[in-house]
Amino acid sequence: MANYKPLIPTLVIYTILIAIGALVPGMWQPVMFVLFYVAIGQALNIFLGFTGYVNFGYVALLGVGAYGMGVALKYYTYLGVGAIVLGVILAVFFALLLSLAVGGVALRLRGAYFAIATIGVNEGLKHLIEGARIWGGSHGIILSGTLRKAFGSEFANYLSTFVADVFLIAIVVISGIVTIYILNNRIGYALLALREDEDAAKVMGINVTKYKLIAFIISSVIAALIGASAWTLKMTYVFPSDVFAIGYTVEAIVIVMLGGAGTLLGPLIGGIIYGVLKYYLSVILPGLQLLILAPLLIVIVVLFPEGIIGYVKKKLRYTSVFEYVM
Amino acid sequence: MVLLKLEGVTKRFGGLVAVDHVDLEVERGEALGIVGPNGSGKTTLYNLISGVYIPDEGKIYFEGKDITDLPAHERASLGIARTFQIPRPFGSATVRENVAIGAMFGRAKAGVEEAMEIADEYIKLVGIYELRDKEARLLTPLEKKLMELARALAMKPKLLLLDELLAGMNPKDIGRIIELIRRVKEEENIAVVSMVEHLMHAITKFAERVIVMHQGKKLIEGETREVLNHPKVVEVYLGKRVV
Repeated sequence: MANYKPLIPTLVIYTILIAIGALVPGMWQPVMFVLFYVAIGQALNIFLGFTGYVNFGYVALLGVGAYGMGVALKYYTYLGVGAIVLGVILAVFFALLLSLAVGGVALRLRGAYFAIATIGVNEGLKHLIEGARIWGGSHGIILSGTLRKAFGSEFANYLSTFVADVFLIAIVVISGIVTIYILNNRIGYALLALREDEDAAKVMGINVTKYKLIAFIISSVIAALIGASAWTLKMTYVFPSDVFAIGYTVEAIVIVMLGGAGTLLGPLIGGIIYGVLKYYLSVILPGLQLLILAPLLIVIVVLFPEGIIGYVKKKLRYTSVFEYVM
Repeated sequence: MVLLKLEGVTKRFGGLVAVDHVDLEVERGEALGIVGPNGSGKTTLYNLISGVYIPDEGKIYFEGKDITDLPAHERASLGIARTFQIPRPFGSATVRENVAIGAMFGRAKAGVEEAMEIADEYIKLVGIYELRDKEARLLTPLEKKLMELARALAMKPKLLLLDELLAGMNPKDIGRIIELIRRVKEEENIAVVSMVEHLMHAITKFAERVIVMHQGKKLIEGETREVLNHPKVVEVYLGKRVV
């Protein structure tokens, strides 16, 4: 019963967003800002949405991805453009290392215990890097000068303004495709079963730890790539206090819950709503955006406990457009 | 041929010995009934066989292989399936998806498309085909039980453990379900162990052999009618004559 039709509205929304950015003057940066939130929502959704487990250490995966790219560009600049490739490899490698270490141990724990176990990961890594003065310690890695020297200011500029954005767009599209692939395959059904009732899933032959770990690793690798592109490449610096800021974890959780956990369109819609609200509130009411955003989100979550897409799906059941919503 | 063998299996919860040195053998394709009053250790016994608990003492063999320490999901792959006393559907999934998950991960290990076909077959068999696109949490308790039966059968088990499947059903449904289980058991050569607390009448129609559990121990074992009329069994259920 493979159903890839929901990919159509997904790709249409991506296209509209990018078209707005490309065609409306001054809209490129706001669109990229929104796409960043879509991306962190989609990556977290693959774990949180599909397993029901909350990963409070989520931002640490963006962080190690940012460091992977940062280290490659800072210390292996002589590789030329190859340093970017190395950065991608390092980001993925760090994410694999961290997710295997954390997931292999903590995913044997249930629900809330897993969440508690992951809280320490982020803070621990940040203090390790700062305290042990790894990769510049609390001073971070500053790449703007290095990149200018190595690639010339024009190409360095091109990297941070164009390549970084295209990279992020690619991640968003690919994570959407990964999501629908999971939903349509055995892994998706295994995750659905364990999210609903882990014990029943076990006696039905599902190796729950294995499937949780798979979802965790996929989510982590995508998160690391977001860190590598939207942070390191785009900003051209990596500061531990920025890339391990727990606020991003909370924002990603909000996006997933708001849009609809475990759905394809959920984190996309959630990310757009959250990103747009945050962007415009910070323009209209700078400094007060959280004061407005928080109650607004509470209202939405109360009205749509299953997220916006969960609600829409329920309303559209037994209609012809149902198969396009997932 | 012996399919499942328990040797001196014991499970304690603190000071309570829920299952106390139980020996048990289930033949391939056999219909076995386990009866016993509330708290006699029946459900714990099922949990030990299906791998929810690991026994404190004793050994469990399935097709001659020691499965005592095997995790639940590997036992399911070997061919052990069960239903739950209180049904545990995957609530947000449809009936069809629920049953298909059984076919995907049990012994059948089917791909998604094939699993959906297997699911349809068993949903039809238990008679809830018209509910196949409904979310499982919206079913009535009886429908949930039938769905769990279909889900367990879709796993293509060699051993099917039914936990109070018939409890709460009306006599007409009981007759239909017993007939259905009998037929599937013959067709697919499944050993069916059915556990009941009070439906003695149903068990006589179904089981070839019965084991009576009492306070975690095997009280008596043998041919169904003989066992159920045994004075010890009557005593367990009704108490001793005091005057």
